[in-house]
Amino acid sequence: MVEVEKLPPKVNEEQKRLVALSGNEAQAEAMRQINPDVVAAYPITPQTEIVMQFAQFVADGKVDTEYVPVESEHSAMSACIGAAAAGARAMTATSAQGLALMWELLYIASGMRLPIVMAVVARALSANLNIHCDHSDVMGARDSGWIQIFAEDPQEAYDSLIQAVVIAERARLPVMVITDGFIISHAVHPVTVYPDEAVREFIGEYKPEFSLLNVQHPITMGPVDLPDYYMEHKRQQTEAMKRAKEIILQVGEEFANFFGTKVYRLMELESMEDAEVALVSLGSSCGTVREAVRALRSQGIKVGAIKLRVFRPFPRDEIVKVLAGVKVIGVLDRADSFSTMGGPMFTEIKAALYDILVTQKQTAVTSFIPLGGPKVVNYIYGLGGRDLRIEQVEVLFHELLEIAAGKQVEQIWRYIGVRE
Amino acid sequence: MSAVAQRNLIEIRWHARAGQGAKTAANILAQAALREGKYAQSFPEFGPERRGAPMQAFNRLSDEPFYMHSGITEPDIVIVVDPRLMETIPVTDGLKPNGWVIVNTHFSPEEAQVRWELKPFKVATVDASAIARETLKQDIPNVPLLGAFAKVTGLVSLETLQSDTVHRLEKRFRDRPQVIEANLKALERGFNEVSWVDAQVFEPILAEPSQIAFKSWTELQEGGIIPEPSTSLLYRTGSWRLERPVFDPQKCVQCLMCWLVCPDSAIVLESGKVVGIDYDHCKGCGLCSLQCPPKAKALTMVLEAEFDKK
Ligand code: SF4
Ligand code: SF4
Repeated sequence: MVEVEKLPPKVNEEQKRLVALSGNEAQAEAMRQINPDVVAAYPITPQTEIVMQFAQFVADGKVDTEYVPVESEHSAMSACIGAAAAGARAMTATSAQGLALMWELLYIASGMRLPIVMAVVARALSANLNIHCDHSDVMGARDSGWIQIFAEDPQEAYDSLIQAVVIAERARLPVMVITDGFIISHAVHPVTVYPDEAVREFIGEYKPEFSLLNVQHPITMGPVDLPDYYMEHKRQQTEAMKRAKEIILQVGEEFANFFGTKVYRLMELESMEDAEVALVSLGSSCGTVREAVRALRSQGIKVGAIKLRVFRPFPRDEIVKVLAGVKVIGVLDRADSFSTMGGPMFTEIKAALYDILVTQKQTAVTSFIPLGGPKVVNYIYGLGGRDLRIEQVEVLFHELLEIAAGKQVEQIWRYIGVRE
Repeated sequence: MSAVAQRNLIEIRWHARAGQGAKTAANILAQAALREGKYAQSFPEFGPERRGAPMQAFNRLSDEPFYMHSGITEPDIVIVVDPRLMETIPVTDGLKPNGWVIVNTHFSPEEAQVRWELKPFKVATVDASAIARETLKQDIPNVPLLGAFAKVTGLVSLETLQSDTVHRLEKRFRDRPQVIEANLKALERGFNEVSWVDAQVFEPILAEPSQIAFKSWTELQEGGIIPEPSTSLLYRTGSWRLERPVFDPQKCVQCLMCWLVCPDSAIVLESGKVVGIDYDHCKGCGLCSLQCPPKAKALTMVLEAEFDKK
């Protein structure tokens, strides 16, 4: 268990400012306060404002950052890798094709264990050309060794980006903080902003263990790694990911104690104590689902929801503990995997539940699992920015309740909100 | 011994340097075995993928179909294309007792057995480099070694290797039949000139623990960082060399061009002057010799084989 001393928050209410910011503005503001050593970025819709605003901060002398205007996202991530290897705090931001263009570099950043922090404004991948939200870009990067934190709204984006700096440096892993394109990036919400000095105190000074620029102590980074050693380094990386879970929880607690906010964890639960059925989702949809849960609960219907905040590392044991007592689980995926067996989060959750069944006798967690485990179905929604409405979510809950009551499951996974 | 090892399966390991044609030889052998109705595999395993770097190639031959794609650790036959490798590489690692070691060397099999501590094995020697230089006009010992292999093991026939060679080369060298002739000659001379001796001791060979202590993932720097400089000095890459630069201090005008171009920092300076070559790390690329001013000619490339003879 994480143990952090309980003290009154360092930052009191008077020191905070409540302002109206879009998701992009909130992230740019966080970046200004973080004041990274290096930012290398290329503008792409819907992330453009982050880069524009940050470039303005640089031009106005509001940050000390070395801003590298690059010609592509491939170069943006390359420059961040170089900067981080040199011992700098490096940040960037991107979306969709930009993230896809970074693909090979994502693995280099994580393989070299560089604590780069990136704001990803989730957007559908081409083709066909679409600038609106879905998670196909982010899910493409899910196995790249980056920590993935989803933010539901601009406040969470702001808070999470600040936390990400500390998480990355402690875990020695790169972190992406994800907001939903347009839905959050361009939507203005109330955001509580903390004083610059407080943010800087929280993140502290970055003291990298190694720096390529330290000529007194020359080192080699990213050397050739043949069959005799490569696998050991991957084993370390997966261990770092396992450790990252604790670090994320710890930083969430420290953040709450410091700024007097809610405690950020791996996931957030809505009415899960006695829920018969539940929906699991990521990002902005979690708010919409929460509204549906509250509406149905007011009618006495026992539904619940899980907002998964951290997708990588995947909080397997934690989510199973919550879902074990539920009769039917619906997983909302804002991306298709084209595996013909549902979206990416669907397969992860099923695998998590199955793992626990396999190890049933050995762990304490398993006592939560009723024989056979809960049923899990999948809804693929919101591709290319298609809206998800509360009424639609309510219909899904009713469908889950019917399955719980014994109705045969006709389709394990399907698209919703699509013209059939 | 694994269950597989008891099957009628012959496993062969070639030890060579990248560029000496071992991979091609393994391919030719597999091809010939296939033509004779056997099942065969050939595959290489490269290290740093640089000319001169030690490499291995492998063959599996059998009368029955087989399906494994794993490496070969307990071969029946070892073929050493470059005998200098035996100074740094344990070529007989895992070789079955009474297995074959076929070496490209001018030494007799009896001499080789003593010189390289090969007493538990059958040893065959053939001066494949000399044959290659005489027939093919360059040091590509793989062809005569194939001839020698056919003779001592009988696993493929000389005739199949010869007809394969013709088949393989006839298109490319349509206008130069003498090249094909030279290859056939090299094969035949390898076949005729090889000599061999039986194993001298028949004791089970106890596997020696690996020389290199590999670190576990918990002991390594995260991210593969090498936290100190100059660690490449620990790797004596000098054995990769086929040719050696010989320095003549009398002729040197101290222009330092060699020092500037050497990719392996193997030109030794003392008080700013070239005094010699670090043969533990010189890979024999020849750049220094190329850059040495023609009027000085203080660096000459000499075949390593010349030094072995002395
Ligand atoms: S041949 Fe010359 S240039 Fe090449 S590694 Fe040796 S000393 Fe250096
Ligand atoms: S290049 Fe030749 S002449 Fe110049 S320093 Fe080297 S050995 Fe001497």
